Amino acid sequence: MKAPQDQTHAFNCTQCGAGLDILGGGRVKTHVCPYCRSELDAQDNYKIIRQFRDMKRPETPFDLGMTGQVWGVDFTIIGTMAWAEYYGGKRWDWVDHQVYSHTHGYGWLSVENGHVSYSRKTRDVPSPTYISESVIENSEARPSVRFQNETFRYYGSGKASPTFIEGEFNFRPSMDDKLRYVDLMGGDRMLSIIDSGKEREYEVTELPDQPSLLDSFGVSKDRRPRARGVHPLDAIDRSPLQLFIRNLALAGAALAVIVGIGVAFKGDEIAESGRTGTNSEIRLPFAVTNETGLTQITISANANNSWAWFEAELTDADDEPVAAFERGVEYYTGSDWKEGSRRVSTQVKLLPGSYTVYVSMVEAKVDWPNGRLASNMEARVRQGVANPDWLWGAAAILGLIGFVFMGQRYLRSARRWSGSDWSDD
Amino acid sequence: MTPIERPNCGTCGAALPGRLAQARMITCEFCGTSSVLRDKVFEIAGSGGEMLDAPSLIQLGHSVMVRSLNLMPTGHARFSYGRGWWDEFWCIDGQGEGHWLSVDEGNYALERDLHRHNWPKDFRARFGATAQIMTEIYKVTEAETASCLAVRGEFPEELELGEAHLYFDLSAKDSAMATYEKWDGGEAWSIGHWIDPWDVKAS
Amino acid sequence: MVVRVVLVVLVLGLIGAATVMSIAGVWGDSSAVISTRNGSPGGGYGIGGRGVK
Repeated sequence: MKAPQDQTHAFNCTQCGAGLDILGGGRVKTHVCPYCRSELDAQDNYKIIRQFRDMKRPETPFDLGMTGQVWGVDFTIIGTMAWAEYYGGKRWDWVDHQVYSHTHGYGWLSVENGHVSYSRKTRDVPSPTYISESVIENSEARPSVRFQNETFRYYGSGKASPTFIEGEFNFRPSMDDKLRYVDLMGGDRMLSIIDSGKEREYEVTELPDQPSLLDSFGVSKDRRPRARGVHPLDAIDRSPLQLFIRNLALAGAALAVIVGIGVAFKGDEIAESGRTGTNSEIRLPFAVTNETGLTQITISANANNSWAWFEAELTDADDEPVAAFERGVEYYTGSDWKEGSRRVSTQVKLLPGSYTVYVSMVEAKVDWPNGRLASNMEARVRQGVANPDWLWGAAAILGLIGFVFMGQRYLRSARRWSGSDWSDD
Repeated sequence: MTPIERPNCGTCGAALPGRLAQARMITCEFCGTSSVLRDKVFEIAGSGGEMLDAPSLIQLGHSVMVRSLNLMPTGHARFSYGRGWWDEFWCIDGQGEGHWLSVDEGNYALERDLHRHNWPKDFRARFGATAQIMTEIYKVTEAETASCLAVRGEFPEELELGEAHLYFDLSAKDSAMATYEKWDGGEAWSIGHWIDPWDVKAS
Repeated sequence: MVVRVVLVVLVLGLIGAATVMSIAGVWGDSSAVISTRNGSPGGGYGIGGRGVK
């Protein structure tokens, strides 16, 4: 009896005599000679099954015998199979490489649009087990299946045939094969239902990190595929840093709003005139003690469906004028609406000291039915009032950054599904 | 002849590990000789065969997580089916229950012995045949002749090196599987599940 | 990690600076206010201005 490691790792093509390496394991069924294109039965002394003709070698970064790692597991490229699909006058091409790992078995590295994905057969079965053409044709919403506790939504389907076959396979490929496939996309995996007419198989596809995959297989710089578009399995958030920046910006915006609301209520009342008639002038002395913050002078009047205009003048302890302003109030009301305000606030930056504010109503007018002129007014003074605009500004900037990152995520998700052949019409 | 309580290797005299109450076959870790329990004593059964190194996620004496099950492989047998070979590991879980973990070029299956009263009736062992085990229908997906190449560690049954036996792998839905084995003077059924290789985590 | 810490510090710094400016009332004068002291020695009313007196 031969020990396993003594088994031959090379043989001569039974058709053309070329020396061929055996790269796969004992489960390899078929060996297609890269020189004479003969399909040999790997399980029956490499008996010639048939010879393939008119095969055009596809462009791919991988060669038979290349070894590398997929998520830390060693794999060898043992077979190459190119596929073409025709639909609506257009043609799609991709290349599947059968890969073999002694510990993880057989799988595929697929090269399409410059992206390299890893697929493997799964023995778990989705529910429902199949999505027929008529279901795709007739359903209102994107069909979906449940598989391994995850929902996979319809991405695309089609019929494909091989255009090129060489190397070792754990099945018996033929140029006459016609596979119908249905691709469904979950969070970061694709589930493919593959129907060869004879049997139905299920494959799970994932997208390994591209540079490290190509590096580990030793793909030289000039053979690296140029990725076109976003692969549907490309994670929405490629870098966790992007997600972090988005969350940080949105959290910062929220914090700025909260702090802004907090400082908007800052301030202490230091003087109050009490209600006086609008026919006389308010004279309200007050003392500013705070070094920081603004002084806020609020004038209110009981205008009703009318407006009133006030003049105010501020003088210092020496009765010298410091500042002056004019402000108005207007207030209108109906059975179910009101508009305007009976109160107007004015902020001014004052240094600590004694001041007096003089307020007088200079003009007023009723300009709405049932209006009444303001008959009394009041002035109040607060100090240490903040200007929260700075925090609103900070919130706006941070919020904008957050929304830009959110928008990117949305756009990326849209691009991820853009290759889908599903349309809602 | 050595009593079961303190078994020693009949060839080199080294103490056999004897970790398992249900162990019926033990190979000596020093000289590789296998001993088999017969009438409460371990007798030399012969050489444990040559086990050549091959990359494997499963190693004797190193626990392994298979989905949520923590298994300790205590026995390692290698079988040849002609073109290739596969490994069977006898593993003990946290509850002390035994499982067979078979490893064949990345195909992993975890199986337990099927009670004789659950064995399917009227099973005709051939490729494509079906068998009903309890309520499930299983279909033969592989039929081969295999022989044991080498053994290491402890087993609940005697494995004879070089002896050919027939085995049939059967599959049902949702990765359920069963195996029927037939050899001169005996047959056995086991039942279990295929395991995704990426769900096997060596610790 | 360092990048994240720097980003957090930057965001907190921005909010902190905005809070300080807000509480100090910087640029908080109402547009209606006309100062008599700021840049108008002739006693006429000048426009805007921080620190009126």
